[in-house]
Amino acid sequence: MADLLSHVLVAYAAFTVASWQADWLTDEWIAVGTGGAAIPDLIKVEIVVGSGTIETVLGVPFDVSAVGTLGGVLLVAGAIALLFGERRYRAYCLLVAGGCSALVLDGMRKYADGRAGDWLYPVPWNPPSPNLYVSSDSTVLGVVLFVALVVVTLNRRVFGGSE
Amino acid sequence: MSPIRRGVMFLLLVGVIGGLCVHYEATEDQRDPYPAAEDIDADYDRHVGETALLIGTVESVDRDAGTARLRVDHDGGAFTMTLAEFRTTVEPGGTVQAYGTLEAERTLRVSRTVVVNESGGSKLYKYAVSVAGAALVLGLFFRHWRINLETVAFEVRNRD
Repeated sequence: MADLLSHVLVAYAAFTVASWQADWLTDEWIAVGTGGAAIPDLIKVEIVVGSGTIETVLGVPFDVSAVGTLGGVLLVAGAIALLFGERRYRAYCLLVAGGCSALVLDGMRKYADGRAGDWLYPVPWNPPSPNLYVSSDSTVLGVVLFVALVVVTLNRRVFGGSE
Repeated sequence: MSPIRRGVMFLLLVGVIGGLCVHYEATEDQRDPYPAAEDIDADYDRHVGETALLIGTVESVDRDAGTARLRVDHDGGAFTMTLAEFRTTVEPGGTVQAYGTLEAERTLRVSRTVVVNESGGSKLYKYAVSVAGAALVLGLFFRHWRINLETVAFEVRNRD
């Protein structure tokens, strides 16, 4: 996992830039899409309850990491979108878009075998990774912070956004 | 959709997500082109000669000999491997991915390594930054939305 902060900042910057073209993408919907980018990070519940513990309790193989894949994002976004009442379809699309942005970002990390793992699960293909960065590298966060700051400034000064 | 119908749908989806987690783990071996850490640990000799990708914590590095000791944790425990031809700069406590060929006596001849965390401290950095990310995303979301307990749904906060 690239750190959650990078996921959130990248999604926030991307949705803000998209809002310059799409009038319906207001601040509250940018917040929903940005929240979607945190979905793959829900696998960090493993720090509290390990998959091994769940396996022992349920008596079946179990791995929370499935939430950090395409299939996991599509389903978890569905569960969260139900909390948006009549606006659940728009919420769903934005949550999925945000979640996928985080998955793509993770898919560009360095892998010793050059393959980015099974983040497209249940699609049975491990795509190659451009091997761009490791997530403990603080340069990544520095670059992302800088980009987000530029976008926020442009949004306020040039595009008249409020945030 | 009434709150009750949405509640039922929600529980159904949570069930399907649970099913996904079960299917993901059960089919892991088919997706992973390399032997699983548990299997390597359980029957090492059967895997000698195979290509493996191991992720673990560096316990020690012998720069002159070009070797390192790697502890690999898995669901059923942990085991230690020797990494041969290890030419990467990393401190003990750091996390690495090591890709190479399994040889006799629990040795991995490394062809490529990626340092995931340079030292034990970089893990802490990742957690700290992730907590900041969680605070940011929750703050941003609840600045614009609040939960309406009557409809059990998020609604846009009215701006004053």
